[in-house]
Amino acid sequence: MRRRSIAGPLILILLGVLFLVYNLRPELPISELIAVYWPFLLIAWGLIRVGEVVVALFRGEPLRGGFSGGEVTLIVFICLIGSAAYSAHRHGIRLGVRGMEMFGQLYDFPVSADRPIGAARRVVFENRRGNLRITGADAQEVRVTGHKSVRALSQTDAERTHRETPIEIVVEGDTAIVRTNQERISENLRLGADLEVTVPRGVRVELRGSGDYDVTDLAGDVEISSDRADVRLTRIGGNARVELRRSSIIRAVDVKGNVNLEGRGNDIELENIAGQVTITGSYAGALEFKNLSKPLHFESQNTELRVEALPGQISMDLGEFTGRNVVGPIRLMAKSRDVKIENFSNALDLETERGDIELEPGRVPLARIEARSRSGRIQLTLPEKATFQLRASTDHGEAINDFGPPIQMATEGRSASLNGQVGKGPEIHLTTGRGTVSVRKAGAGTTQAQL
Amino acid sequence: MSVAELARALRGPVTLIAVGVLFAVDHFTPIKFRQTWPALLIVFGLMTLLGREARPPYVPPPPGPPAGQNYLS
Repeated sequence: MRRRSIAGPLILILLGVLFLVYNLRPELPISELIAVYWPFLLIAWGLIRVGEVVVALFRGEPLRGGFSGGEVTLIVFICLIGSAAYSAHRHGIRLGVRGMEMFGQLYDFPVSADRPIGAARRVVFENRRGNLRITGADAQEVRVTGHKSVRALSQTDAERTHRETPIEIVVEGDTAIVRTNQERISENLRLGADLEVTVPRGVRVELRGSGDYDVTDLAGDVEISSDRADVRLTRIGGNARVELRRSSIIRAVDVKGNVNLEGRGNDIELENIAGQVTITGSYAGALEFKNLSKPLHFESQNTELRVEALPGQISMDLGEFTGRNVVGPIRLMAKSRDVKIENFSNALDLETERGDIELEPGRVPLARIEARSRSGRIQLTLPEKATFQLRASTDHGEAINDFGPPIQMATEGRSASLNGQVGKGPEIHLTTGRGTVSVRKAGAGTTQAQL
Repeated sequence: MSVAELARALRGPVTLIAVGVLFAVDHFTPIKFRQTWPALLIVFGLMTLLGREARPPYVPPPPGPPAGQNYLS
């Protein structure tokens, strides 16, 4: 029988030791070490095999250094998992093996602090992990209450962690810093602080960390930058600026200043915003905008939207866009969405690649309308008294006209077009590659104006 | 014990070490694995080449009937 290499058992022992250390001393950064230093495992393995070949050479035994299929598979897996762990580590994603967090118990400690902040106009929160509920009040002090939860194997460990991470309120010049000092301990220790805070109403609030953030009744600005947070802002007097790497919801209601969202996330809900709204990034969930007094600009990888104001409502997700009562000029580039816009004013410039378009300006006089779809039907419903110049065409599909003789219909092969002029009015261009293009009269035929 | 035999025995371990070194270089220097991976082919190819040298010596095929005769007849 040929001699087996000692590398296999050694690797097994090493893995066992690493996992054991991870479980027993979670504060040691084992997972980071593995993510960065795993290539040396391969080097060590190779060196062991070289050593074995050399030993065999001196003993005069037959040489074998080739790897079995199983070993090659293992090596490939180590490379794949190692590379993934390394890139996750570099991009700041924390890999936790879920089962391992079940070790230990959750210990809770009440925390509180308060301190007058004098002339400080800016309050910065540094809470790596945990929820913050911040409320503006007619006071001169910052008051913090809440609790800290620590996952540890024993009460003693938990208490040590608790002592090492005191909550502090520091005033430096015009800035007050509320910090929970979680950086002092390893990120592997499960520790979070959920805080309820009252601050003087007029200050500017800056939040860093990850958790749920709830900010209410503030006259100043709010700035949030976080890897992962759910944000709820209510009654904010100043500007709101939110930069997130991940979130499931961002909600802002009654904001007097500008709202600026950046990053990635899921749902967005904005209501009663008096300032400009600028959103860039990618948001995969449902987006709801209601009652925005100033321009809205939304830009993501496959959508661009600009409206001048929104007395009504816009809701969109990855498949649909619905707008009601929108003040233009409107510009919307939506890759693959069904678009429906009702009751809008001023010019409209709309383009989709795939998706049906339904437009109903709902008021006269009309403004310029330009709608293009690569594939999808276009239906424009106009008030009976509307005046306009129409140029509509489809490459594959039929054309429907409710306005009678002033509009000429022409078909050629599979394509169809509508051209003509009803009274004296603005230009309307509708173009689709595939689908029916129709110009309907409100109240007539199948569609009813829902105003 | 020939050089070729040694090279064949060391081919796997040396390639493995090279993989480890390239990933370590990727992690600790700005040079990325996606730039350096062809070195693995070179290492593996070199080791294979060294291992080839001492194949069993060339044995000529058993002589057939004289070629010239068949050709002429």
